[in-house]
Amino acid sequence: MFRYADNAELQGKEHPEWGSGRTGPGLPMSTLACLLLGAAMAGLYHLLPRTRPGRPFRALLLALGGFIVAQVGLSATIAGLGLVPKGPFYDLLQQLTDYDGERPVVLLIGSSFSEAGIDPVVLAEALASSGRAAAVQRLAVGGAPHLERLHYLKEYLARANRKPRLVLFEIAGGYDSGPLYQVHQMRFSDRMVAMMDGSSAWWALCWLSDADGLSLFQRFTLGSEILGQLALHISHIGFLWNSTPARETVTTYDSGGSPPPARFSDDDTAELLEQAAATRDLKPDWPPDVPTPWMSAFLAEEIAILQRHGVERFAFYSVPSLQGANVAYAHRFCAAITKFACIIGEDPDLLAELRHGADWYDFDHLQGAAREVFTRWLGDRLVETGVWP
Amino acid sequence: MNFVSFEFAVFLAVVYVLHWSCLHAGTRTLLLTIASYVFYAVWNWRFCFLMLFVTANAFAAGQMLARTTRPWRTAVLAASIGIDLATLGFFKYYDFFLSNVAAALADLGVAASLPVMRIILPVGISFYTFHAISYVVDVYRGKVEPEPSLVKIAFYISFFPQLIAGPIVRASFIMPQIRHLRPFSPAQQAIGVRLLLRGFIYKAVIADTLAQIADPVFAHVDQYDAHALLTATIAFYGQIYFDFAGYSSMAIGTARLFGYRFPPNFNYPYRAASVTEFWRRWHMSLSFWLRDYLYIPLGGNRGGTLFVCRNLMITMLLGGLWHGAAWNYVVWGALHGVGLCANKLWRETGRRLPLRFDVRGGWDIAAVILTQLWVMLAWVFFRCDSAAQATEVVAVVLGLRPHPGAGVLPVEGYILAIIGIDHTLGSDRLRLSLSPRWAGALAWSGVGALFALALAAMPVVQKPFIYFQF
Repeated sequence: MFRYADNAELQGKEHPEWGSGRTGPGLPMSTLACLLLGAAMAGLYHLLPRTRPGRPFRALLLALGGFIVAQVGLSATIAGLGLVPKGPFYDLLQQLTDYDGERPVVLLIGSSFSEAGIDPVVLAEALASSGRAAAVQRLAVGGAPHLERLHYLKEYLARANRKPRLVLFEIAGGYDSGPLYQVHQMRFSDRMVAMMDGSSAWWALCWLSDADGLSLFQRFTLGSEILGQLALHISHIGFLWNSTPARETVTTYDSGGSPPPARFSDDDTAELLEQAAATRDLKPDWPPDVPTPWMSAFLAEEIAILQRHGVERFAFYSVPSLQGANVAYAHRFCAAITKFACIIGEDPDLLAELRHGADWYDFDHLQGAAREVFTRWLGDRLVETGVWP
Repeated sequence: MNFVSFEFAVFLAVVYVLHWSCLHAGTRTLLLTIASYVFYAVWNWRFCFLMLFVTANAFAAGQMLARTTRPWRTAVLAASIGIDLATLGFFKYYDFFLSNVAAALADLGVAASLPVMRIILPVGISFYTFHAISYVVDVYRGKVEPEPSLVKIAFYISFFPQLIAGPIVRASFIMPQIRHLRPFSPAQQAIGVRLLLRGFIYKAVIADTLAQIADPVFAHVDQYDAHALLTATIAFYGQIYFDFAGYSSMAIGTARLFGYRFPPNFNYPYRAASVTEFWRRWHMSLSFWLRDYLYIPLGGNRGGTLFVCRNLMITMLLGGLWHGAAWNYVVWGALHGVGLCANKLWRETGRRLPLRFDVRGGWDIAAVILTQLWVMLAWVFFRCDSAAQATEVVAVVLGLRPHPGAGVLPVEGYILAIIGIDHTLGSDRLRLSLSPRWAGALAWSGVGALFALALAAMPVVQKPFIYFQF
């Protein structure tokens, strides 16, 4: 229906039908807390006086006032208890923002491509072996659209003990071309409601107003979803169900599991790599402008925010892919982004080491030894190109 | 479209504004009918034609009943009901019937390849066919005038608040309302909003939280110990009440927003001291429908005790089968039939013997406990995937079979307390006593505040209402 990221529905790992399957048979205490809260609400409902609305407008104002006061009370309670929504990003933020070591921080921002293809420990080793030690942090979660990444990047910057010195952005044609695809796929899930603040909604609506090829109905549907999720975000919907103290280790979030792996033979893999290298065209439903004006503006905003937090070095990278359109997109993107370094994962020497079927989880995700191969290659390129001096 | 969804909120807001913007009763009826078909089409537009067919059948029967004389009137009635039941039977029971015939033949050693069609069950078919039957029977009995407008019949059968899961509103109850312009009344709107809020708290906050306890256990019965199965059973006992009563409250509240009154569907059923009383408090629109359109035509309370018990059993067995084409629903109906018969016999015995039970005294508590244990037992059959699985659960919970497995948080006391709070405060109509000025302020600011709290305490991903599957 909308332009989409490559196999994005598989990357998402959180299906709208499943939602965020957060409560297993273990029955956390939050279940009991919500149950008791429900009982209190039912009890209060019964105890409320029944009066006729003599002046309907006054009754409406009073109801609105009660709603707002309760929302303010909820906000204060949430802030007071230091609650944050459970989810993959908060698990990550918890780990990343605690770092307070001496080594400068290199931050990677991306999706499942980076999650699967880059090992932060190996990358740190690769950089250290060249005498340029760094703490590598990877802010990447499967199915994360740009809006979600920016939302949590702001959280990261607000909470991190050590701000990054270098930030690396993942290049992915699908995510850049259809930034709302995942938002639509995961509509009204915990993740999407949690990230749909005013800023995310604004960027989403900007894309919607500029995007080509969408019918009026599609724009209306997507716009309604965005505004609906914004309203739900503001009204803390489901928050008590799915929150946890910020400083508590979160292990209860169930992402819904990974999609099944595609199984390639070695011959298939070699052939697909050759085809990918030969491809020069984007997918037919991707916009020809690379990056799109929206993407350029979004990146400019993201970089400006990072700069305000003292980050001065930026670069872009793409993870190897068996889909030629992704490689072609990375080429066009890097040709357009001249201000920053750009590293495309299609070096023949690198690809020669990724020709086994076992190296690929699917068309876009590395696995096993291939992950280390690519990570070390990326580390070398960062040093060679002077991105990490 | 789930009542607890953003889509429904938008749909309701749009239809509400359009409805009250229309000045003429006919335009409003047409608008609500179109909106109801849109509401249904969101699920599957193809089945709108099935609903239209059922509507046309009821309309035609009504017109023919107005024009025919006595001997033909019965034939028209039988034909119309036959068509409705055939429609319901085909879509709901065809595969069930054939698979059971095939199983029976296999038991006899006859290999038969019967044409099982894996028919999709149209949402709400059990409800709208009953609405259609209600209209035709009420016209036949002279309780309602034959309606010359197809749109009004279509509106009665498809009105979206009651379309998917009731309440089953009698034609004689609602048709007079449809025939007159509904005035906008702030008092009615206030009642509608309060009922919506109550349903929202019941469903979104309590029932869906209880589902988080019951669902994982019933999905893997073999992996849990006896205590976990007991907890899940009690959780479902609470879940189905809050789910269905919540849905009914929202349906009745939504109808009130458009100026229509629906009969109540629940009256704190877990206070019932007998199965007979339970059915006067639980899903009242169905139990009264079954009473008036099935139990009484079968003979009702006339005749001897055995004859009455036969009528009760037939009614409840069919009532069970109405809920779903599976044997566990039949067993569920049978258990309630047995409960009704036991109550009937108990009362007969009390009349014959010089026994006097003071039901308002301590005996009342024992009667409530016994009744509710029986109801809970029946719910196990309602919830499980099969009668065999339900039997297994009951045997394990009663300690008749060792069943090692995982445990769950022991929350059964809390669940019963929640039901107790709701039934005590709601049923006894306890209210905070304040001066009129403060009462008004608290009443409306409380509605807003409770709505805000309910939003925060509900899971984002809502489960469909349980009765939507019927």
